Amino acid sequence: MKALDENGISLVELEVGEKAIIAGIEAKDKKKMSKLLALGVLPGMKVKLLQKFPSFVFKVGNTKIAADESISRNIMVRKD
Amino acid sequence: MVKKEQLEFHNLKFHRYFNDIEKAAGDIESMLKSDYRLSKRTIALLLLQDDEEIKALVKKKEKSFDDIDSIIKKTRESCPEPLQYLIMLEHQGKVEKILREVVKNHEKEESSIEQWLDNITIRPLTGIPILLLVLYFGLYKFVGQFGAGTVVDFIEGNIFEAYVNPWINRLVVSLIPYKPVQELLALDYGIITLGIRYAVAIILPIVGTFFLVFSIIEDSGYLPRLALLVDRTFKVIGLNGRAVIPMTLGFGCDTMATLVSRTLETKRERIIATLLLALAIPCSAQLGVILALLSGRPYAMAVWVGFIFLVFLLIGYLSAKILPGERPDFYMEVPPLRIPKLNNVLEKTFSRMQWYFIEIVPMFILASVLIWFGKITGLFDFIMNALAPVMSSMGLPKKAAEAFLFGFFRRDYGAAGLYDLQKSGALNGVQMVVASATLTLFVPCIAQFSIMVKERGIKTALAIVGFIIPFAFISGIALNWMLNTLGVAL
Amino acid sequence: MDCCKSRKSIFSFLKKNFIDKKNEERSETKKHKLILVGTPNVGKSVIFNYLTGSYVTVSNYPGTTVEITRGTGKIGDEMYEVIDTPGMYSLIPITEEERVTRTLLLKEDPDLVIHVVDAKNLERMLPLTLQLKEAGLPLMLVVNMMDEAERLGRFVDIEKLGKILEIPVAATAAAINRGMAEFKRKVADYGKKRAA
Ligand SMILES: Nc1nc2c(ncn2[C@@H]2O[C@H](COP(=O)(O)OP(=O)(O)OP(=O)(O)O)[C@@H](O)[C@H]2O)c(=O)[nH]1
Ligand SMILES: [Mg+2]
Repeated sequence: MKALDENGISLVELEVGEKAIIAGIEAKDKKKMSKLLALGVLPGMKVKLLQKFPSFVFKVGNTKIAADESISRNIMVRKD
Repeated sequence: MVKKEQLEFHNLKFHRYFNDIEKAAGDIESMLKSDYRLSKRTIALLLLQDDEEIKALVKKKEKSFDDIDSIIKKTRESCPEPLQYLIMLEHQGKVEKILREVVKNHEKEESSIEQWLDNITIRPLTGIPILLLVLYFGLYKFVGQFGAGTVVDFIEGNIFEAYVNPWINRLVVSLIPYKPVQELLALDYGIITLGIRYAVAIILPIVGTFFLVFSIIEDSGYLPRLALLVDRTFKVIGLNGRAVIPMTLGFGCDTMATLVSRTLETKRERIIATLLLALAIPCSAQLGVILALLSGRPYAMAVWVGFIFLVFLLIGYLSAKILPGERPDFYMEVPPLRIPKLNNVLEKTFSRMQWYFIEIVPMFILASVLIWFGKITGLFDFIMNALAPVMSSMGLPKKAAEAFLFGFFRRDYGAAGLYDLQKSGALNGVQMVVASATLTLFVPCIAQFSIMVKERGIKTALAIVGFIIPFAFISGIALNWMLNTLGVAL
Repeated sequence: MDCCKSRKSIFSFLKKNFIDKKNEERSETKKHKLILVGTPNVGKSVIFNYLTGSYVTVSNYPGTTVEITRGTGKIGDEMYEVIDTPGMYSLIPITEEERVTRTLLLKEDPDLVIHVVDAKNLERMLPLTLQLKEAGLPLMLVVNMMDEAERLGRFVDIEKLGKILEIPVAATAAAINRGMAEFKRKVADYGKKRAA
């Protein structure tokens, strides 16, 4: 396993169909962050990217979420 | 599920800040002296998370607000991440611990047919054809041809024209000797023969079939999938994909839809959505009548759809340019596809029809009374004459003014007026398209206007209507000119 | 949606028995107040309809309910004023309709707040339960959509969850009417305990 305090890559850089673990949420834009928190996107959860175009669609736990790039970009993930 | 060691690492990383936050919350708690209904601890935590509304409330109630504020600032500065994030992580840690004890997972994937259906609705390549199929069968075939065609013809022709109208007319004429009162109740513009007939024979079947189709679509979970499909297009007009829900609901009833535009996040989006609903989204009654009117003329239909769609995009685009504010975000939970429950679909359809009916009948009666009043005082003819130049500049006969006058009371009433006009054979193809298009854009009905006032404020509502009325007529004139110049016969 | 009040639709009127009616008037004065809250699209409105016998719109997308709706229903021997709210993701509102619910919680004095959650997504929804409990509200948890959770191979030990949280917990599949009688009984029990 890579160094744990490394923040990983953004969700948008994953390939469609790839699975990863959420490492954290980029909090530069607090509004965008609170939206992700509201949807239950939290560190430690498994995420699978289902689609990139026309919107990002990903599954976190048992929830499917659709979001545009500017929101999805803030999700940092780590591939196992 | 969460990987245990990762989560614990994450919590470990922030653990000492959790203590700082706890301490700050405790300090603030002890400084709160008023009653807030919610516990002081909750208020303290909301303050730490920068909740503006709570801040304003506390500022009003507590003398020591400045001290509280400085605790908040200090805590915020000492933490590497926003406090909201850290507080959420702390909760998550607790929830994780609970769930480890109470939840057993034997992870099963959703069935492959579910996955397949989900996939084809959200991929553009298959999603767009699916959307077109839904529109064609749901809207055009079922609402337009069956609801507005077959059912309306049946109730109109076989019930009202064959039995109700002649019977009422005879009854009224024989019982009441006064011509004006006869005309109030029956004959050409009477409450029963016009108002009630419009409501029951034309509007209700269309609205009913629309709400039936729409309920099935709603319950299936299709709308959030449509939202993610159109998000990019909606961004162009200053909205985000989520606005697809109020917009499609607008095809049922713009009044309901204006209320639902609450779910949009920014004021700017809510204003744009309200404007577009008032301007370019025909409600189901209008839509049904127009689909039925134009259904024999596919080219005319195409021109109407194309024109309204263009106006929708153009005005959306322009208002997005003009109104200040940032680009909206799109994020939405996509619920599983579910098989609609017959019980809920029926109950929803009936309750909406009932709501709609109760809403329109008084308006229709009022409209009949006003028209009657206008007729006996000569006001009606006066307005019709005044509108004649406007009509003729759109290439429409003078009698078309009637439909517009009706449209002032309700969108659907105006459309129903158009229906009567067409039946009398007064309009050719181009005229029908121009009249349909102008009437689609023309004023929101009174009910919609009152919700616009309630939700967006009187100033915004008036500004919107002040824009729409001249814009609708100018569009009508322009469309008529264009079609004539190009020499199109529809 | 569908404007303002829950209206008894013709349809539900046909189905409904008339017994409730009389009680409604008799105990108008000492009605208990029950608020349904929770994340969007978890089944609050289905439960509202069940408890009141009226109909508010139920649809399969988040953000169906955008207004407060009040209704009445008999639970156990008591009359309750039942309040359906727009869904909210946390105590901090993002959209207008979420604010409506938060404002209600800041204003009303309920006898019982029922937090409705989706069993498939407990990870995401229980944080709000903790927040509501922390807020000192008289709380009960309804773990709904048990049917879908089971289909995904998830089982929830409801009793244990109640013990840990120290609040009453009910498991339901509201849309198919599963566990609803039991849930109603738990609400009635809670009312009795509170009165005592
Ligand atoms: N399978 C299943 N579906 C359910 C259950 N409860 C509710 N539903 C469905 O979930 C969807 C949402 O139900 P609503 O009652 O509208 O949800 P809500 O919490 O009021 O949602 P908002 O008004 O958006 O906050 C509907 O399609 C229901 O039929 C359940 O127990 N099992
Ligand atoms: Mg609801």
